[in-house]
Amino acid sequence: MMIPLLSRLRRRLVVASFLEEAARLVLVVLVVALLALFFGAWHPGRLAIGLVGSLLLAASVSFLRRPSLAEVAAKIDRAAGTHDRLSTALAFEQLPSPTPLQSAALAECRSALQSLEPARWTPLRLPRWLPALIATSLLLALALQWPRWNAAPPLPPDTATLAQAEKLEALANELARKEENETKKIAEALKASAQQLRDAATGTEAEKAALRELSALEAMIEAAQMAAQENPLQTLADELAQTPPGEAAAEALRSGDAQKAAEQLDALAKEEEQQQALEEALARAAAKMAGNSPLAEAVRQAANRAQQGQQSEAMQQLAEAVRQQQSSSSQAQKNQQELQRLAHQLAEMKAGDRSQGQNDGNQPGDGSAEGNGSGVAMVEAPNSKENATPAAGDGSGGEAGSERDEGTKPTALGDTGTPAAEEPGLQSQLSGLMAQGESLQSLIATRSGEATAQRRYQSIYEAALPAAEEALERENIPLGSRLYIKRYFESIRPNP
Amino acid sequence: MSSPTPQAQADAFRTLFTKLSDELKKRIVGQDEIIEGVLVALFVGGHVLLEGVPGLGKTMLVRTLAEVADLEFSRIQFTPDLMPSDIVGTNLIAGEEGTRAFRFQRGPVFANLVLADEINRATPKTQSALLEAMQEHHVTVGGVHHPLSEPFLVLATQNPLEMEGTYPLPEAQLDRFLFKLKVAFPNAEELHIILDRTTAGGEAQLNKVSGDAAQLLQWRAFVREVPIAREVQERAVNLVLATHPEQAKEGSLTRRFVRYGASPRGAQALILAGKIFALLDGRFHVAKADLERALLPALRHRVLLNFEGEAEGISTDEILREIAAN
Repeated sequence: MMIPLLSRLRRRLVVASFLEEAARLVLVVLVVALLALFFGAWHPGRLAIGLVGSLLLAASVSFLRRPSLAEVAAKIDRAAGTHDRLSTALAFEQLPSPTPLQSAALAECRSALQSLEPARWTPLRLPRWLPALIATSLLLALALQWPRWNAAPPLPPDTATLAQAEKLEALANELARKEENETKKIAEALKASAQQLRDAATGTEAEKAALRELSALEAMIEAAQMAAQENPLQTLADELAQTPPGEAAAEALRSGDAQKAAEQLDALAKEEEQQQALEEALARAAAKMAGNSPLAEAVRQAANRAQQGQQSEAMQQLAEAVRQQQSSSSQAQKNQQELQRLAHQLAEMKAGDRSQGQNDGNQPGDGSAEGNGSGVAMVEAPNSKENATPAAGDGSGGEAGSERDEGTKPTALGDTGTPAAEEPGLQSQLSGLMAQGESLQSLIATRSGEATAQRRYQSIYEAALPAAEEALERENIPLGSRLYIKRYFESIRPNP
Repeated sequence: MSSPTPQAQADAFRTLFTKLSDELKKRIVGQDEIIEGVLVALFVGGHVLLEGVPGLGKTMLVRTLAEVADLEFSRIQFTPDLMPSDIVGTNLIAGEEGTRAFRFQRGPVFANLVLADEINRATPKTQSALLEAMQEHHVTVGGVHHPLSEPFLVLATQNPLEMEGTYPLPEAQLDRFLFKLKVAFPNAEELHIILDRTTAGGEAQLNKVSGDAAQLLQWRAFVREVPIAREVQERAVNLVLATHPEQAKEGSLTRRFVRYGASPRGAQALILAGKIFALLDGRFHVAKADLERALLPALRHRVLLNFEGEAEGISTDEILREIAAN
């Protein structure tokens, strides 16, 4: 009778224990999920795994820690005030041959326990952690929904950016009409950037990606400008000027009169003196000329011919190349101007976008940027502050300053500046091993005679007390006299 | 003739106990715990140490119990010059029919109820003579064992105040007592009743309750048959173990102030007394509450305080209450 009853009660206790454990473990999982959400490591799959795992763990713990029937009986006896009748009945019920008094005790226990309401003493209460669990769940739900509620309404297409995209497309179309490889590449890149800007304006593409595309394009234009700035005629003039017969041709090249220079070179081809010096000058010029421009190729071929003893043919070929270079120089100048215009426009686009981002974010300005090469780009943000550190560009200008400003919104122009705390030198930590360093020892000599006590009386007493107790136990002291000894030690007992 | 049922026996026991208690209360005012403790010791077969200042009715209680229970009673007034032979008896040369021979003259210990008044005033040698009688229920004189009459119950008294010239009972002898009962001073109302009873008219008439000594021994056997579950017995074991400082909790009074804890006799006393309390409560099994009810009288004289405890004025009752609460 008792065993089925207690088994039923134990099941209720196990269920109650499971609810309690599950609530506690789920609470822990939710708190961890909240922290993960806060630190940006949120993952819904992990939360699901944690919840399932906590339930399994709670079930395992409840099962493994389930009480024995005797423990259940003792627990209910204690709670219900049954004078240990459940424990007694459980113990006597299992006896093979109980005595009359044991049987009477068993009967009395059963009789008294009939009025016991087991469910009342093993209630399935709500877990103690339930309020905290509910609160944490609500908090997590709020934290998950907050970005959706707090999201700004979709913005209309940015007309300014769209206009910039159209400008880029126009430039791309204009460059695409040209036959040169470099401009074609730039035109393609311009088209891609225009599309990025268009996407950014309509919100389908991140603004950062669009600006990154613009930066790449700018680098490409800068490289093209660098290549365009190389003047092979000047290089040829410098080398020819180092030889007396070539001075006149060099002077003509420097003055930009290619026709006269070609004539001078034709004249040199007819002269047979100083051919060795001209050959060396051509070789040096060919070595210095980089790239694949027609003039550079012609100079290299002329140098080869001169080395083969065909100085006359070499000079004629060189004169022809100078004439052709002269005819293409006007086109190169136009391309150079075009590239400069492109660089200006891109810099303006980026500067406009940057200042817009600063205004939106109400962040401090980024200072100025300047270049020292061809084409000076000066970008000034409206909210620049004194503490912004300007940085000089190295040729094309444009992107500087913001890379050191912590307040600048991250753009494609560069990441945000390094925080001051991470700068080297501001954090330092001493290192060393404990007890490995030097130590100081000193011996203090005192005069003999009266002095203060070296040990506290309390410690003396505590040391003497066990000895006194031991002596009292060991020695044959009359019982009546032991009292006096105890009183003595009590009288000299130090005050606490 | 069929033997009575356990229920009938238990009812008869409760009736007898109640009658004895009621008869004792006719002369002893208040002191219900003392009366109950003495009766429990009577039915368990243990000795009782009564501690209290003079004039609180200790001797009266024992004498009344002997009268009511119809038991042979003797009183020994312990003094420093009391000899062991004054308690257990001695061999005397007696002449009978022209011959002389040693004849054992029984001492006052040969009684059912022995009142050892102010037991701590006798020398340890004399106290030890009583020790053997209390534990073994016989005395040895001249190499001859003389069994004591059963039931044999020693009720010793001692005065806690006048300790000059006394010989406090050694721990071994204290352990022989089932209970140590502290006789408290009566309150004002009880004092009025005492004065009314003792200063006017005669003494109250007592009725003999118990049949004879043999019947009392039967009741003792019945009490010992009362079962106790292992779960409950474990509580008694834990209570006794908790009085030992080496097994007590850190920071407990036991750990701080106790030198030696209770002996296994303490656990025996708890369970035997618990069986009586269970029967009085109408149960056939011992409950933990019964053990806790017997905790103070059964263990208070078995717990020895250390120096610190005595100096602090800690009582063993405080320590035992803390143990029971945990």
